[in-house]
Parts: sequence; C-alpha cells; structure tokens
Amino acid sequence: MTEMVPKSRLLREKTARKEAEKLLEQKSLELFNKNTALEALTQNLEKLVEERTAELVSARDAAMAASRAKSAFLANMSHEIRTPLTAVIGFAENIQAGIISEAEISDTIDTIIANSKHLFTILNEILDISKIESGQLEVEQIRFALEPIIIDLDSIFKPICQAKGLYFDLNIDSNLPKDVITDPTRVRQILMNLIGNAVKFTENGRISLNVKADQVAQQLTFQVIDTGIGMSEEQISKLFNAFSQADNSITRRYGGSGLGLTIAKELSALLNGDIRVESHPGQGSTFTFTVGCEAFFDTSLNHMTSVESMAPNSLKGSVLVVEDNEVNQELIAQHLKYLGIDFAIEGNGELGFQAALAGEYDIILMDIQMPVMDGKEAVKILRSVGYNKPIYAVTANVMSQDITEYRQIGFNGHIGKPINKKHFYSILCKYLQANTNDESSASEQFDYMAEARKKFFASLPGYKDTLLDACVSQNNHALNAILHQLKGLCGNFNLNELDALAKQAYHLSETGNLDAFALSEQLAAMIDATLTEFANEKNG
Amino acid sequence: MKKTVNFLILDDVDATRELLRGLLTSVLASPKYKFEVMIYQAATAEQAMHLLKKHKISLAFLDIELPDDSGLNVLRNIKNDFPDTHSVMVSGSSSKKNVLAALEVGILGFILKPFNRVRVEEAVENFYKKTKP
Repeated sequence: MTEMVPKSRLLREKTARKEAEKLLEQKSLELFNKNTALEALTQNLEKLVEERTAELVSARDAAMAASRAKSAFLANMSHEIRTPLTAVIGFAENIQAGIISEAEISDTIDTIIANSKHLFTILNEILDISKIESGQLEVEQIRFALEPIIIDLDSIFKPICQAKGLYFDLNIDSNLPKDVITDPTRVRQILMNLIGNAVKFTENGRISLNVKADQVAQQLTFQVIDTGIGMSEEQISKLFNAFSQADNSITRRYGGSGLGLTIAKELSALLNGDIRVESHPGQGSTFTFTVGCEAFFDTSLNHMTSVESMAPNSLKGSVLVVEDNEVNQELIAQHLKYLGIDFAIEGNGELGFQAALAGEYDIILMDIQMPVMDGKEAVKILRSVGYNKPIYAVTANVMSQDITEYRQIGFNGHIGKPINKKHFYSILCKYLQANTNDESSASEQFDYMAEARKKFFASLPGYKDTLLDACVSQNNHALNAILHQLKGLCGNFNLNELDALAKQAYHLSETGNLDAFALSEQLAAMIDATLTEFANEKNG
Repeated sequence: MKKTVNFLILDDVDATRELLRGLLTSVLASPKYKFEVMIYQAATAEQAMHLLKKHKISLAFLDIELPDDSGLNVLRNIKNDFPDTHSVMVSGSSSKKNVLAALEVGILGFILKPFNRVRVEEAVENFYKKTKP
C-alpha cells in the first residue's frame, strides 16, 4: 500500500496548478491591458504635446506680431513726435537768433503753438491707449450744453475745409435738447477725431456732420460723412485695432498716431454707445457715433463765461507757486502777472511749506517732483499742522491713480502740465476774487494792533539799552539773546529795515562773528530814528 | 450762557504775547464761536506748567524758543500730563526739524512769526472743530 499516492493529495496539487494557471492568465491579461492603455496614453501625450507646441507657436507668433506692431508704432511715433518738436525748437531758436523779421514773428509763434498742440494731442493719445491697455480709462457724466460744442467744432473745421477746397456742412436736428448728461470732453475728442480723419482722407467734395437726439432710445447720434478715398472690407476690419492704420503707408502719407480710432471706439463703448462704419473704396465713408444719454433737458444750466478771454488785472489775491523748474516758474508767473495776482515763488517743498505757513495765500500751486522735499511730503506736513487753504498739484503725472493719491494726501485738485490756460484760469477764478478796485475791509483788522504796537514802542528803548550794553561789554551771548527777540518782533510791526538789520546781526552773532557788534550799534541808531518817527507820527 | 474755555499763551517776549492775544481776541469775536475765552499768559516753561496744573487749559499756544526750555519739551509734557489740552506751536523758524518734532507729538497748528492772521484763524477753527459736541 506504500506506492499508493493518496488521491486526495493528487487532487489538491491539480487544483493548485489550475489556480496558479488561472492567476497567471489573469495577470498577463491585466499586463496586456495596462500596456495597451500605456500605449494609448503615450500617443495621447504626444498628440497633446504637439497641440500645445502648435498653440505656443501661434501665441508666440501673435506676441511677435504684436511686438512688431508696437515696435513699428514706436518707430512711427518717434517720427510723429519729432516732426512737431523740430518745428517748435527750430522756430523758437530762429526767433531768439533774430533771423525772423518783426513782421513774421506773430505767424511764427502761431506755428509754434499749433505744433505744440499737435504734440500734446499725440501724447494724450498715447496716454489714453496705455490707460485702455491697463483698463483704467474713465469717463465722466456731467450736465452740459451740447450745441456750443458742436458750433465750436464747426468753427474749427470750416476754415480747415475751406483751405483744402472742401465744403463743411453742419446739420443739427431741430429737437436737439439744450443740456445733456454725458462726458463733454470725450464726446468732443471723438468728434474731433472722426471729422479730422474725414478731412485728412478727403481730397475733394464735402464733409457733413449730422447731429440727432432720440429721447425714446435715450441716445445721441452723430454722423460724419465724407466723400473721400473710402476703404475696402479688409481695411475696415483692421480699422479699430491699435497700432495699425488701415495701411502702414497711409501713416507716412497722412500722419497721425493711428490710435485715434481705437481710442474713439473704446470711449464710445464707455459712453454706452458705439462707432460703426460704412465705406467703399473711392466712394467715401460714413462714421456713425452713438452715445447713451439717460437724461435730456430743454433748458440750459450752462453759464460758462469765457475764462480764456479774461482781461488783464481782473483778479485779486495772492498765490504761492512751489516749483523748481525756472521755465515753469516763469510761465506761471506770466499768467499771474497778467491777471494782476500777487504771487511768491519757492523752489522746493521745504521752502514751500515754510512760505505757506508764513504767508497769507489764497491758493498754493504745488509741483510734485522737486529736490530736497517733494510736493506730496510738503502737503502732508501742511495738512498735518492744520493748514486749511486750497492746494493744487501742478504736475505732468495725471494718471487716475496719481490723482486719487493726491486727493488722499490733501491736494484739492490738480492742474496738468502743460498748463491748459482755460482750466488754470477757471481754478484761479474759483478761489480768487474779481478785482473791483475797492479797498475797505483792511482797517478794522488793524485795531488790535494799536495796543500791541504801543507796548512794543514803549519797550524799544529798553531793547536798545540792552543792545548797547552787550556791545560795550563785547558779550556775544547777551547780544545773541537780544537780537533773537528783536528779529522776530520788528517784522510783526512792519519795521522791515529794522527787521532785516536785526536778522543780519543775529546770524553773524550766531557764528561768533565780531561784525555783529558793529551792526548792532547801527541797529541801536536805527531804533532811535524809528522812535523819533513814532513820536512824530503820534504828535502829527 | 456761553461756555468759557481757557487758552494759554507761552512766550517770553511781552509784546509777542500781547500781539497774539490781540489777534486771538479779534478772531474769537466772530459770532460763530459759541464760547467765551479766558486767556492766560506765561513767559517761561515753568510758569506755563504751573498754570496748566491750576486751570483746565483747552488750547495752548507754545513758543519754541524759550529762555528756560524748548517749547517742544513743553508740548511733550502737556501730551503726557494733560492729554485733553490741544496745542499750537509758535516759532520764528519753521525748520523741518521743528515742524516734524511737533507733528510727532500732535498739534492743531503751526504759527510762524511774524504772525499772520490766517494761521491764527486756522488754529482756532481747527480747535473749534475738534471740540464741537
């Protein structure tokens, strides 16, 4: 019985082998499946990589194209900026050199101003574009009279058209409301651009401006129609893209930043409107510009007096100008002199805040970037010590975040550089009084002075004696102390000569300079003279 | 009845105190200020501290250049010992150092000599706004 293998063991082995085979089969199937999946994944990955690469290539191409467009734009801008700048510098130098005859000077200055304004427009457009790109372009909503703006455009473009042999038609809808609410500056800017383009691209025929108001749709519609060169479909499609005029060669021929329409389109959207174009090559173009306008008024609030044509000496008051640049100082000074306004100029923020504390100014015009202490710090200090008078920032930094910052610091507002005369004068008008040539209010304020003045004169002989004693004993310490008191006091009572001499002597004595004694003796003599004068004044 | 508040003028020169007192009286004559003012005067820092202890001073005008101390020290002492007293600095020099030192402690105004009325008006106006109920 020993050779007998137990049946049960055989059976167990057989079962085990079967199970092992089954497991093996199962595992190899799993392996096969995983392999297949892996292969699919690899293929998929490769495809993904290919797709991403293609996307990157196209993004890179787009970025490069944008960069090329910007480079081309910059190169072009450089040319656009240099052209008017050349005229400004060149003509100004010629006037200075005396090359231009007396008779031609006025025309030459007109040319300089026209070119400067052109330059200013280009810079504004570049600024607008940078605001658009950073999403910071803002519009206002103000109630204003629409018609004067349209009439103003008419008076600007009619002569330009005439000079080019074109007709300019203005058609205003008879039911146009007196006042509307939207952004007058931006509406004007868009219309200037559209009409400007029309004139630029039209050699003969006419330019028309049609103005309509739809009270139901709450919309203003402006149409600018020209009989100019017109545009193809393709040109129209590129029309509103920044940095590309319909054709680059057009830039060379017609000039301009090529940004105007992009800005106009963005602005019209901000004004709840749009700009649409219809055009065919050789058949002229029609630009339709709409503005959303929620309220119309049949009467006008607008009493805008023409501040630009203000007469000489028409204001009175005093202004502190804090500005480090001599050219700007002179420019502001010319305006203030013309208007008959008293003013003082300081060259940096530190001198500025000291002058502000010392003086009685109706308004301060404060530059921002200055040496020693900038305008922002000066205003922070002034506001912290309780200075309440209006302060305006006069600055080339007019981005909206700058302006918000100025307001937070304590500026009342800002005046952009270059200075816009109209804006500048309107701010002066706000804080200064009209000059009506009457002088009455001063007297009562000086009553309280009388008592103090009497006291001061009574104490002057004592001061003089102390002063002389110090001189005789050559005691600089005592001299310094008495001079210190005198220098502050004399100014209070408008004894300016005494004040100046006392200050001079005080400064010498501060440094131990012995000349202080000689000056103090002079000062004592002057005190005597002043006392005699005061006695005569009393008796007389 | 009008409420009475106490002011203090600290300055070593008689005529200067007189001048400031006159200016204050004239500014306070405006009907918009609905309080009577009693003006105390001190010629030294020591006298000033004495008056501050004795009377409840609401607004102090402090000259910086004093014979026995700096007005800036007086300002600091006031902030420590009489936190309800407001101060205005008075000085012949608005040097950045003086102004910043005073600002650090906290003031309602900085009046430069020779005086001008507008600064005094501003100081009183700022005081009025601070203390209006």
